[in-house]
Amino acid sequence: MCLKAFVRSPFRGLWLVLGLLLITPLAAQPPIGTPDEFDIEYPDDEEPSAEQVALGKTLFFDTRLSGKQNMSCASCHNPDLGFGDGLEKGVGSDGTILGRNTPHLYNLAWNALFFWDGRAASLEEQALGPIESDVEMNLQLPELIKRLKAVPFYQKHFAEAYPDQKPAISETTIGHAIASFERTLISDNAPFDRFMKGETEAMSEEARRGMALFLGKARCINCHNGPNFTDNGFHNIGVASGDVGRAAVQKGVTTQGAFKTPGLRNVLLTGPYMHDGSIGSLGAVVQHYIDAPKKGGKLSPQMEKIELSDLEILDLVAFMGALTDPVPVTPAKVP
Amino acid sequence: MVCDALNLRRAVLAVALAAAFLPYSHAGEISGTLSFVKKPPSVVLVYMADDTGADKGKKRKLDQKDQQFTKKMLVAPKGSKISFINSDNTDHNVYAADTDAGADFDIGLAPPGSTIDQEVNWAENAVIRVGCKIHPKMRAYVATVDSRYNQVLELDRTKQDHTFALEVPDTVTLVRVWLPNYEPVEFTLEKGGEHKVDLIKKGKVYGTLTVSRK
Ligand SMILES: [Cu+2]
Repeated sequence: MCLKAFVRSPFRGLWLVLGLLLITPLAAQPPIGTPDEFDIEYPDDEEPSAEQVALGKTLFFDTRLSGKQNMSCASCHNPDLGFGDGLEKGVGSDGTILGRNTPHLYNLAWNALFFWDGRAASLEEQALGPIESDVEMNLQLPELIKRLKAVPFYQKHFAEAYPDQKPAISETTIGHAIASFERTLISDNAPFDRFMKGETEAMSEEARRGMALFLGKARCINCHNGPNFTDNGFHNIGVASGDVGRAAVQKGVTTQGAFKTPGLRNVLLTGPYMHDGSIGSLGAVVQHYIDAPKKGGKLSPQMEKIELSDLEILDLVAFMGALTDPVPVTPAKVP
Repeated sequence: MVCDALNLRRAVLAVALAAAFLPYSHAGEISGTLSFVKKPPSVVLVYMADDTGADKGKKRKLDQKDQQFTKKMLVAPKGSKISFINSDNTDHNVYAADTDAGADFDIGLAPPGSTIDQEVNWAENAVIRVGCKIHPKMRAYVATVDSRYNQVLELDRTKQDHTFALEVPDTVTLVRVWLPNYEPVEFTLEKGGEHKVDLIKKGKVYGTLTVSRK
């Protein structure tokens, strides 16, 4: 194929990726690409019903889930703020500033462990955590069940969504419904995905250069790999917050100061960044990855020393921008 | 030289012994079908539980590449050693924390190119999960099985029906089948027999297993 034909080829994006894969060593990171819904591990391999998802959505927006009835899941995981709150750190129902940044909810269906320190093994378990936490929503689950049972809407819809479960309204079904809704928050049609399908022009020249840097000398791919740009792993990346992170959950030589790699889909919408929300822009995030390895300390070996020009930083940010495919959610009508 | 001669004599003896027993231990075959109503599990272990002849001196290997274990399951008898190899270009770790089986180890940081040995010093006939503390999605199983007659089936999860065949001598009859999160299955099967059993997970039937023996 001559160069001109190559430049015009609709599959240029694919060739570019294949070429980059070929020049990387034999062992490689899971390739970036569009996530496959077949790879979602549903609990007990059961896909949730439409009724369960709809019920979960209503619960997600219902302030009955907080002690003072002033806060819902959506208060912090605001669909219009990248399923975050735009704040450095989360704020509880009584105004307490929490220890960490509110994580986004995009493509959690493929995720392995939950919370920044991975202390929840399932989305079901995670969904119930902030409800009971005294500094967050501060409502004990038996009290929540009592509240929901008093609402005819919930009586009807839990019974319809969970006909096999007795009682229909329980910790299990509340967690399952919310998690089932959250698993539908799928972002898989970003300019990057269209580019990978052969729509070369879907990504700007800057973003394309940024992608080559992402996979190459910027070494982002070391951890932000796979279809959701996360290895689902835990790494110490040198954000000095005094927080031990994963080590509080699991002892080991690799867990001290380590936090979960967040997926990068819609990352443009999910600032501020890092587990403590201490970095406000994506450019500054990239700068952190240039600076931190030079400072030393107990960093993950995946934090290789890198050098990038200012222009290259902009290219990387442009590529991250090409991972944007918002998931619009109209708030549910709360009964 | 003395040593070589001794080894040669041993080898001759071994061949002679094997030949002597051959007429009495006819090898038959166990074959089966696994049918699932939904997505199948990633791996299935089938083995003859009444054999204990596995070679404990042989080292088994479990490798890591492309941020995955290269096998979904490794079979190793108690008392043997496993070499955990990292053929990847990123650091990994291998650990187990299975209190029921008494498997509790952590090989620490395993840099690219490293090999770290671990003795199988936990319960027999247990299947434990090993993982990587850096990458929790990396998972594999280690089955402490003494039997030489075993087979690990890595299932194509897009297909619901799967078959297997395993050569077994007439002397063993106890079939055990293990699937992650499913209730384990165990039954005896004589030559010419057939056995059909439901595959149950959390009290619900998710498939059937049919095994016959020739
Ligand atoms: Cu690993």
